[in-house]
Amino acid sequence: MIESQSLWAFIASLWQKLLEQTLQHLGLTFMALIIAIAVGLPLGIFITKQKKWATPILGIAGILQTIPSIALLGFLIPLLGIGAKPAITALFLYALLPIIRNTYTGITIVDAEIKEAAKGLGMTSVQILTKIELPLAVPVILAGIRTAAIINVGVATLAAYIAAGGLGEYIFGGIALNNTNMILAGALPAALLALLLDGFFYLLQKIQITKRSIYSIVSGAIMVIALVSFQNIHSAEGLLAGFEPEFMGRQDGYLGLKSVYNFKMRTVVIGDAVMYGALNEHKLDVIGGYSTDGRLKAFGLRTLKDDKHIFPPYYAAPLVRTSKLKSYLELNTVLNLLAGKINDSVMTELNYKADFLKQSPERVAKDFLLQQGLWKEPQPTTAGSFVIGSKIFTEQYILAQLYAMLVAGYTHLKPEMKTGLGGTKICYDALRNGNIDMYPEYTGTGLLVILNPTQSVLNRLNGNRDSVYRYVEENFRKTQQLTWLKPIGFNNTYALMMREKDAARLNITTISQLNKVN
Amino acid sequence: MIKARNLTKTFNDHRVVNDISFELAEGQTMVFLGTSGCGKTTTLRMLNQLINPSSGSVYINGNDIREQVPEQLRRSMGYVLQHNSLFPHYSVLENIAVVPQLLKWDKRLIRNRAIELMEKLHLPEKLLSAYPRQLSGGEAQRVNIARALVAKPPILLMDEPFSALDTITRLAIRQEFAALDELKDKTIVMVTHDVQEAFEMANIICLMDKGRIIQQGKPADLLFHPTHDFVRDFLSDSFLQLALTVTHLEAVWPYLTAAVSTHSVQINLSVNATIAKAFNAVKDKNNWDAVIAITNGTERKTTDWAGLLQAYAQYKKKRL
Ligand SMILES: Nc1ncnc2c1ncn2[C@@H]1O[C@H](COP(=O)(O)OP(=O)(O)OP(=O)(O)O)[C@@H](O)[C@H]1O
Ligand SMILES: [Mg+2]
Repeated sequence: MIESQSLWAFIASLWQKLLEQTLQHLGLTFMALIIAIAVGLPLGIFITKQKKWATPILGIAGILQTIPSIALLGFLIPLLGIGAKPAITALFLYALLPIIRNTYTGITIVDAEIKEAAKGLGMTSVQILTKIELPLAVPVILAGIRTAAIINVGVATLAAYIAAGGLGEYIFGGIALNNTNMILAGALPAALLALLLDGFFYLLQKIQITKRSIYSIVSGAIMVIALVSFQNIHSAEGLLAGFEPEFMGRQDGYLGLKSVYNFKMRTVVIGDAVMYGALNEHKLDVIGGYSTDGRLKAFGLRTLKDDKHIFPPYYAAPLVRTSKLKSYLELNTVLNLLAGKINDSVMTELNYKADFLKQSPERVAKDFLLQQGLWKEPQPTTAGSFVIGSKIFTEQYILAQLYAMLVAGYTHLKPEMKTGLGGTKICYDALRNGNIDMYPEYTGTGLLVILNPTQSVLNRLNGNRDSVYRYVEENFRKTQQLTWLKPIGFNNTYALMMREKDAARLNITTISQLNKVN
Repeated sequence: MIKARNLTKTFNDHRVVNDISFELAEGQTMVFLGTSGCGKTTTLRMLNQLINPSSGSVYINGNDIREQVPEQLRRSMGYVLQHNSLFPHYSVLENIAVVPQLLKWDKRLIRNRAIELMEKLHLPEKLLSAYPRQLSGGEAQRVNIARALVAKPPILLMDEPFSALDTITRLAIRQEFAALDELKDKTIVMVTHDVQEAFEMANIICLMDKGRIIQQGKPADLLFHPTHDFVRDFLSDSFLQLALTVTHLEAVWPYLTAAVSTHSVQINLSVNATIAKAFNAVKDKNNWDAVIAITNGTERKTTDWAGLLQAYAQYKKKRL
């Protein structure tokens, strides 16, 4: 009950933003739908007249449908950049198959006797198409558009990853932040939209097709779709910032930027994977990234100084289930082998090798261990398994590999990997539930995302490296049965970044200066 | 009016229609009769260019139809298929209006013409705004006929127009159809596999088998002078019924004996009617004592069904 009350309160406090996102969401969906209809309908008609094209065209549309949506967005970014364009293109490609297929089917299943009669009475083939075949196919075509619309509402949540907005912003932010209310604030309107659209097209389909009703149905549907599609096409001037969904919802992120710096810059939400590329290609001017990211070096980026201290220290350390440490006493030593071994520049270098030189995380990890003299051949496994998790970015993959190699080399445990978990919440829950035994976490994240202490506690800790570590270590040990081992050495703090050239030209070194320029 | 020369149609090396020729004068009705798959429909569809013959030609009023725009050719020929060929999303009026609209008739003219046809075909005018799914099979088929007749085409093509109806409705519509004044001068080509139907409606029957016309001629010729065993076998099942269908009262007139006593139920016919028609009329009255009064010019004879049968027997005896 308390949960649901706070959900409504949460939604109520956001309703303006939610409305905007809902309209964005509908806009993306319908824009893609219009283009898909404009392309799919003629194609569908074409293949009923040229049957030999039916199989290849339906085949290609079918293959497009099977490309995972994230991958499709990934392919489109180099071609179309970020924002609405690639998002609409992806949605358009998904909507094609149902529309082409249903147009084809709808026309094909019109009774042969009826087509024959139309021809026999002296209608031309164009007249047969427009007066007989298409009107009779309308219910089936509408069913196709209905399917396409529902698919699009679902897939459009992913638009949040490429700065195209929509309800995905809250959904992915909420997932990453362990915030159920936030997930629901995005997911409920999305589900509602899907249901409403479904009902809308269902009603359209139910209307008896007569010569007269047909024109009103078709023109009505197109009007509604067009109205929604075009209403949020706008652009603005000035610098543009791109932040990932998790950053948007964190106190040590966008919320802090707003409350502490009074940050006013135009902001879009974008997936971590495409953010750096977008900055590099001048699609964005400022991003919120990780200070040890390898692309910092590769793309020539400058990190801005956090002069008002909204980002606490983020010292990475293994976060392990206490029970596991107690059953295998040697684990403690083994997992601490890396303690203090990797400083900021070493981590950046390792990330650079993987991200930019395209070396595999295994290879990067092994090379590092060899160089440090820590590498040992794997021992026979006799003592059960040890599951290592990681979040979904390069640094975490490398760290997970390092620990896996150490466990294999120094213990009789069998290391297993569960990498690529999509956010802090997912990793943390997996660890608590015993799905994984450890993952590399950052002290600042543990502090702000999981413990979420009061402002007075934060003030007392004052962003101090050691006091944050101590606070987090003590609280996790006491209340969560989880143990923070020794910090690895580097501080992967959140940071605002710009292209070095721009920063130099505008003479910006701190976040406060950036805020003034804008 | 219609002339077909050496028509052949081949589908995948299979001769579905094999070198057939026929000719039909204005105002006549030709019926293609034959078993399923013998090529009747294919032949009919070559007449309005729904199918192009592999070889041979069709002439209408002496002009090769290939020199005409197919759509225009088709608009000048009524075309009736089975009743489910009405356009389901068009009202009855809109269905009937299809060809006039293609011909760009005035709206009011179309409506008046539709009302006229509805009346002739015994359809209530209020059905004009109904949709095909709301019609009975018989009503739908009447609308179908109206749709074919509306633009007054000189030629009417019909492909098994009554076959989807139940027996009683079929007979009723067929008789109604035969009595339509609209059909007076029409040249009609019809396809059926119902022998009785063919004999009732045809001036000329083309009996087909495996893509060929086995015999073409007047119904009586096929019945009494078959050229092949196939024809004899095909007609043997309902020989008597057919014989009565093709024999006119005129033929038995000389053998009709003196008057029968008057009776309350009387049927009046001219000598042009067939014996089958006279029997049908008796059956319709549901009174086997009914008196049949036949006029031949100024002369008049009365008889009953038994008297007619006797006269027919004598007529047959004389002819043999
Ligand atoms: N488009 C086509 N392609 C291939 N074969 C066809 C085609 N149209 C008709 N046929 C074949 O030609 C033959 C004659 O067909 P048609 O429709 O003319 O027969 P029909 O005499 O009208 O038969 P029914 O009384 O069953 O309607 C059949 O064997 C049929 O399978
Ligand atoms: Mg047929």
